[in-house]
Amino acid sequence: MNQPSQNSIDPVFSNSQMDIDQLPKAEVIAYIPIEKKYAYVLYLSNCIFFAVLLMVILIVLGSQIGLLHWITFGTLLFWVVLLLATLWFSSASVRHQKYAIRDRDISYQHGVFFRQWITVPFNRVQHCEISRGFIDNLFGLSDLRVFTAGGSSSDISIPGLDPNTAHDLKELIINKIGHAEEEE
Amino acid sequence: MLKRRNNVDWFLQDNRQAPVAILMIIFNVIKSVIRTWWPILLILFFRSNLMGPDTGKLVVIGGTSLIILISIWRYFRFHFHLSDTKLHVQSGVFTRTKMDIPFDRIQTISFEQNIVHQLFDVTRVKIDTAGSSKEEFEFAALDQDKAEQLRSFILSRKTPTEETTASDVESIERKELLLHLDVGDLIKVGISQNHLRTTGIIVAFLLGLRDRINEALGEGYVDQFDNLAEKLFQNTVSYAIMLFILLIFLSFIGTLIYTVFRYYDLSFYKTNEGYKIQAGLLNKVEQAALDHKIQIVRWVSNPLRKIFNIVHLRLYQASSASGRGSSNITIPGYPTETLVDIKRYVFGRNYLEPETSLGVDRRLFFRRSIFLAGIPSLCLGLAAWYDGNIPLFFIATFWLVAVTIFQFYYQRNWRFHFTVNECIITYGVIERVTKALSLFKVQAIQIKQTPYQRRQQLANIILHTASGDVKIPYIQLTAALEIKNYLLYRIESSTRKWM
Repeated sequence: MNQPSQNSIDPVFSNSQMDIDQLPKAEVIAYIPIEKKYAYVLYLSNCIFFAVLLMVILIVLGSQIGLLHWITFGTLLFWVVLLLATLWFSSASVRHQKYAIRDRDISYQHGVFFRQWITVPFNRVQHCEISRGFIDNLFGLSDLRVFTAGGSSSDISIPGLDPNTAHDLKELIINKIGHAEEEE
Repeated sequence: MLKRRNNVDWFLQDNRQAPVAILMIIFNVIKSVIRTWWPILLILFFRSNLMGPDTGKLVVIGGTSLIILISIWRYFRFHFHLSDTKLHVQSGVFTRTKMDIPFDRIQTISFEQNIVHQLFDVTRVKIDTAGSSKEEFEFAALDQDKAEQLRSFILSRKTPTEETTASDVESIERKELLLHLDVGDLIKVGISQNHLRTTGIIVAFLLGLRDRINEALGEGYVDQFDNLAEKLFQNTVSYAIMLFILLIFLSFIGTLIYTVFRYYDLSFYKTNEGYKIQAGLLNKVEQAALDHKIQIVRWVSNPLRKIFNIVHLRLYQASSASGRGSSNITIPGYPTETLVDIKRYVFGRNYLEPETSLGVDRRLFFRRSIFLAGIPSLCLGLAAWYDGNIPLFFIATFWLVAVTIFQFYYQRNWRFHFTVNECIITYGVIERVTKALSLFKVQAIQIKQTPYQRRQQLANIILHTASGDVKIPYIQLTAALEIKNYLLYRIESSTRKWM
């Protein structure tokens, strides 16, 4: 397991003044990128979508104004540009998806233009599961999902994990949840 | 002890609701019939020429007796009993459903009495559960004392600490009155509500209703009303102004009456483990909240409320996502000077008011001015210039100036502060909203950056709790990271129960 180094925190509650520089920092931890092949999952699902779109365009335009009309060519050009942009965006989004596990929390960062980082402490995790879509299965990848009581916007879903890694992470988190509950 | 044993016994056997429940069920069935069929009912009512008077009577009598029969049948098909850990319910006329609700899943139990309930001394019992697909469940009517016993039984079994069961039941009943609102207070509350928002809701509702009636009865009916209105107010401008004034007046009176009816005789208690609130004239509602379930305390003030020295206070409880809002405790006219008591109750006796607060970055003002004032008025101004429409040009200028000034104060008034254990944010220009929460109750921390914020090293930070999010916009990225690190430390080192 690839785990970044961490500072452990004294679990006993105390209310002493903290030096803010002494706190463990979420920004210096090493984030692990998700599997590169997740890009293929996105390519494939996007291509399926664009293939359907192409068929619709050809049928509609072909029956209305004919295939050799300039509007048809224009639309097809637009289709190609949009497809290329989407494919570029897919690969960029895979490069920007990273996660990190520390002793007491899990973090996930994503977003190409609009960046976001989310961190869920293990003692706030409600449950944790692995899900595999049909295309994920083709490329041998898994999603790890971490649920909190904070509603869907605070849940983490990390796509593009090696099934073994995903399984290990899930076991680790479930273990940690158990520990957190014992402490209560 | 023996008495308690007897009290509890009746739950363990099969039970029906109080017989008055038949009335409530009839009412519910009629309500749902009207809700789904009302356009057709409207047509039948207005276009009575569709059938003769005899068939009409027959349809009405047949329909009513069918509804009554189904309701009675439904009543006799509804059984429930309690076991040690679960509430078991069987119901349904055509499709039988069996439900087992574990006590652990039950978030809140609240009581509601409308005028009929009050006459027969029964109560509606609403049970909010977490995590299951069916989030809310209710008994139409139970005897008042049976409902009380049911609640204390469930609440006492919920906590796994066996040895305190008996004292728990009693401690919930021990209570201290924190606040009582009489009609005078409620009139103050009603006057200081946001009437413009109510007017907006009424306008939206009327427009929607107009369309629905249009669909159901045809253009003719609506046009007649419009013609009448036009005759009354000759030209459209005075028509619009008159209508607006009339609506504001109506919503003012409406809000006043609604406030008095809904919050009549409001009593707010502190119990040993939480809060209890009772209010309502025709529909009496009783809600309870446990201390540790309260996630966010929010209060809203505005210029009128400042004069009356009150705030609109709300305690947000952790609850199922879809039932959000139903389990919150709302006190519409809470005296400002005793707010600190609530904070001490919720955040602990050592709670201290923060002395300083921090502001958000000035660039929030620039961004919001561009998007909310600049771009819209530019579009409007261009349209006005193209059209040569001078009034429109003035509207565009007015919008630009007014919204920019508003945004200036919006950014300046956005304040937040972190104490050792709490986070408090305050925002709003005319209506000032304050939210306060305990840091250890945060579920997840999110930092977001738009491309613009990334270039400027700014960020938004969002604290997710079990009853909604708290967002601080446009702070320095380094500050956001500091907050995140501190919060994570507070959450991860905490072993206190957060829900």
